[in-house]
Amino acid sequence: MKNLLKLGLGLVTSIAGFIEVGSVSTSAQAGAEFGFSLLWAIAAATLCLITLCEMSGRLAAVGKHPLAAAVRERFGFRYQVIPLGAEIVLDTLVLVAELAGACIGLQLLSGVSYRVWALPVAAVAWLLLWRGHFSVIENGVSALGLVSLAFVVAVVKLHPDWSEVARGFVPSAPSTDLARYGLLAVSILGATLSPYLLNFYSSGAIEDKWTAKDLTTNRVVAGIGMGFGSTVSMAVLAVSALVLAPRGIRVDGFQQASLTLPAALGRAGVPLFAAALTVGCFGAALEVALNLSYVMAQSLGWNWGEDQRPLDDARFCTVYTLAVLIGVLPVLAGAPPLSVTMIAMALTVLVLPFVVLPFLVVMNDPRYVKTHRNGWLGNAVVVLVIVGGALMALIVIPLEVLGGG
Amino acid sequence: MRRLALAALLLGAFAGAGCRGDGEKVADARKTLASWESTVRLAAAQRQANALPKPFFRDVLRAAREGVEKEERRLDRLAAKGAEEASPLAGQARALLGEIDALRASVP
Repeated sequence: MKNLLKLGLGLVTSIAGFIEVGSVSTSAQAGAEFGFSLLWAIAAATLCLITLCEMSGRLAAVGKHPLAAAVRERFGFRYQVIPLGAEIVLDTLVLVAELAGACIGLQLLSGVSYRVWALPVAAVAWLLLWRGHFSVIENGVSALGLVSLAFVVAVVKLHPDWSEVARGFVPSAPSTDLARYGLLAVSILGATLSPYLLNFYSSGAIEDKWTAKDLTTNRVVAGIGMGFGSTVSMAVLAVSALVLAPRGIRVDGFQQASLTLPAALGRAGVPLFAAALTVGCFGAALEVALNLSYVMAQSLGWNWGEDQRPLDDARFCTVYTLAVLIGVLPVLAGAPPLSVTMIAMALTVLVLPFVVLPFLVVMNDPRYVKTHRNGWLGNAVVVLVIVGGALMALIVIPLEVLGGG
Repeated sequence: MRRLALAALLLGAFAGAGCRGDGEKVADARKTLASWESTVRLAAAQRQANALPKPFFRDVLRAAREGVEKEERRLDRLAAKGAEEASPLAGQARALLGEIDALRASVP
């Protein structure tokens, strides 16, 4: 029973990690412009994410260290300043995008501008962080996040040609717009492999008091949780490929993406899309704000823990309070959510090597993981992520800056 | 050294892909306009089939109007710079704006 409950950790990270503003926008754009042909990018990113999350959980369960604390201890504070600074900038941008995404979902439901929703959404997020325990955030969001299964139901109801869907898992070059195709593949990878997920996952495992006995659970949690998230993400791409691509509709705004579900689910379509977007983005916003506190506290040696009283870890609580406050300002000012998401994605790709490279060293150091060091396959996947991340940065940033995106 | 040159070449090619000429910008505007036109038609059909709530339909039309207006302004700028196909396309954008306004008027 206890092990079953632990599956919730994987579910919350997968829901907030996959179905959030970045994955919805990149998957919907990919499906609308290239049909099923970018499904392989989601599958590849998922494989990397499962491996990295499994490592994060193993580090926490065996070494009793979250990622940021282990890197600080192993490399010293001077090095830790680099990933810390990068994560502060990146997580703040991602937080803006997630808060905006949650507000856009509410706009789709109500017709009232997303800017009006900014303060209420930020207030509820802060209250949940202040008053709620880690398990409340984890299990509450997991349960609500099941609404995103509507995308899977919609795909089945739209009766796709399954052989065509299967062909999407084999990478292939498109006949036109190769640069755009590459940019979207990179965007999907960048949106999926968010560094904040790794530290959040290991911190959550410590909050849940995992031990070496939980290593099997950790593998199942990482696999099933991320698998669930990626199935939904693939379904977003597929409904977009089935509804928008044949009509030549590109996704320049969430209004276009949300026309996909009514085609399969009728009048329930828009409310379900809006609910999935709101819950996914809200859950991710909670995670990102909490992760900022985790990273700061673990890097600077403060008390930390979502289950402690605010009085006992005042600096930890101050960080997420400030994060939510700063994060909501651009939403109030009307920052375009899609543009913020694209900038955050490009920065993610740049930050990835600084987070993942020291992680690899730690995961091969017996002082941290004892006999549970990485196998060659795990190392290969991490190296692949680092090299892929560096190449991604080289490709995406010129495209973004010079107008290709 | 050869690898560095290859990397620079690749980077240059991608950067080149990012720096688009006026002709490509007009082609892009055409695609965007066609996309908004299809969006409006799909939304209207779904609304007629009672599959879209009224506030959402209005929101789609508002977003479509903003998107088409943006393209119209871009095409006007390109036409002023001498891009041949920009002017008729800007006319199409204005016609589409009229269509959107008519639909907005039909949803009180």
